[in-house]
Amino acid sequence: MGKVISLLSHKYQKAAEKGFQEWRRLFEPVADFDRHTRWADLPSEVVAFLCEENPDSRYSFYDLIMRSQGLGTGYDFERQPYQRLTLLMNAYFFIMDQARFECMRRLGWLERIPREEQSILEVIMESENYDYPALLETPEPTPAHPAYAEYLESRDLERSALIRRSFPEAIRRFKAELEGKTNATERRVHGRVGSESPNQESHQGVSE
Amino acid sequence: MEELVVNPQIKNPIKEYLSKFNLNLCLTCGTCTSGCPISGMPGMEGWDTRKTLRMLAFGMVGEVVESKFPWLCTGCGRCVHACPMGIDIVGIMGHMKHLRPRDQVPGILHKGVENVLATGNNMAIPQEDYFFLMSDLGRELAEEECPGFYVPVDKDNAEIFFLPNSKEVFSDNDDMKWWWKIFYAARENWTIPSENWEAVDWGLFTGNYDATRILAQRKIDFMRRHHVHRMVMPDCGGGSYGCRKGMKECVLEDPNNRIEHIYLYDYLKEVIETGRIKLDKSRNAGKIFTWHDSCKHGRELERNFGKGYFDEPRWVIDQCVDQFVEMVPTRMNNYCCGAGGGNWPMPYEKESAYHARHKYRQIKESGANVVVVGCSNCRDQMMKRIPKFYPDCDYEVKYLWQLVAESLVIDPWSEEEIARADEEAKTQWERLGVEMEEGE
Repeated sequence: MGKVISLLSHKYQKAAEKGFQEWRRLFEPVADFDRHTRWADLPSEVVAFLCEENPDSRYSFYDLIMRSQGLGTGYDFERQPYQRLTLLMNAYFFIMDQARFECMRRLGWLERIPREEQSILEVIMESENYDYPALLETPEPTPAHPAYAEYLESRDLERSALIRRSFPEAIRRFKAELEGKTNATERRVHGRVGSESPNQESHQGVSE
Repeated sequence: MEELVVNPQIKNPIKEYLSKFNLNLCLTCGTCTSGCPISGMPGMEGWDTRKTLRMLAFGMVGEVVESKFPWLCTGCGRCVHACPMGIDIVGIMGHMKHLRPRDQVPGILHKGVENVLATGNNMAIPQEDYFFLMSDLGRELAEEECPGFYVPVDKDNAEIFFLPNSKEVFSDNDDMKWWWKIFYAARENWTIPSENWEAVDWGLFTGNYDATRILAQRKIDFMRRHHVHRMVMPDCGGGSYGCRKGMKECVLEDPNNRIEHIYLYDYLKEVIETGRIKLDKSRNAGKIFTWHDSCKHGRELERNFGKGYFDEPRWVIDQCVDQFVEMVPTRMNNYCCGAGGGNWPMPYEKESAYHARHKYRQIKESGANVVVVGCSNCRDQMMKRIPKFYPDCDYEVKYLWQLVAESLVIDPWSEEEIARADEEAKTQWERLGVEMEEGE
């Protein structure tokens, strides 16, 4: 009897191989990616790169979404027919939100991020993950979140907006802390104080 | 990877206009969508503020303009207030309305704009009917409780220029008497115009920039022609906001267009503080009152013109009642009633009611018996539409000036004052060709 394989598993395997092509090129050797990779598995450098809104990070997401679904590359994202594009945009928004929430989680501002138990690839491949109201989902903050007190005094729509509007501040602090750690590592290495390699330190990231 | 908003398919004027808003600043953080009451509206799945901005950045202007989404946006400004990058989303949505061909503007809105431009009011009410109503209703108030009262029309050197709302002239006639009683009690030297008297601005609701500017210019011209000192900004949130925006354009064109204006809140505060009117709180005893912050008198006015009216209406209410509660959230974070941006007259009633679910809950949870408002569209929404869709509502809705008028203790006019006013009224109506019945 031949080997029994799960078609879904095989599909995701193939999707991951294609989908993470650009990410591997960008982030090698800091990180590798497969169909099981979750946000929590990523080094902080990668999270810091992806959580910023700029043409490069945007393209990285577009490319991952397009390649994993067999629709082309990131350059084709904006050229999709309207109906498909709106779905793809939902995927982009959801996964981009995840990157920012992950940044907050590593700062200790959140306990969890939405769909954290699923791999990045699963999130993209299963469109119910990023349909309404999942798209509007915002995790609860911890007391470490700068808007925590305000959050407790607010309700429904206010709460979600409070967390999301602190994305820029979270990204700024996250990158600053990451930079601080990297500089400290470099000082230790160059000053022959510690024995860690720069790569080991950077893999630890901020409160991973 | 290219920057956003470079899509060659977008025509240059639109690209140029959108570049003012700098969509490149958008972080796609979703704060706008999270705080927007229409996100996730049944039947509008797939549309939200964040996605709309991104679609525009992709150059999908046509899709957005053809969509119902910008028309369901009430322009309440919660999104802009919360946006960490300060993108003027309300301005963008307004421009999407502007780009819609005029024959595809929903419902009666564009017809109203055509009417106001052609006849001076949205309902195309003839001047003859307008004069008759003003003379007849004024006489009625004089007979009921304000001897000597009449409605001054085109009065030179008046202190206050006041504009009626066509809804009141057309059907809710008695609603005009509240302001009239206040003017009577304050012995105000006021006037309304004989033409171009419309208070509301549907140009704002339809993105018709020219109409908004023309309507403002007409008011300015009246003020200058008749040497009127101050204009009370229209009560309608959109009307006053549109007027303010239009006046800004007019002043940019010609600095001589600058006129004195006063918001109704400042006016009411002024006549109370200076002792020109007296109020009796006991008339409102036993009821709990709350205040609804109109978006266009509060948050949007604050954002665009640096001064929103939050404290003043609360102060005025405090002069009239003993028991007041706040809704939560309030002031800059208050929820729109769902009627803004033309959503009261527009043919999207269910959508507007869906938007209003937060306002309904806020009112219920406040425990108030009376909701006080400063905008005619907010009032209609809370008095008529919200109870229609949420039948367990058991509150009253009152205008702020209605509350003041109902609390008035009127110092009686002297015989001389009454005789002088009667003579002025007679001369005025004769001049305007209005026949008064014998024995008036």
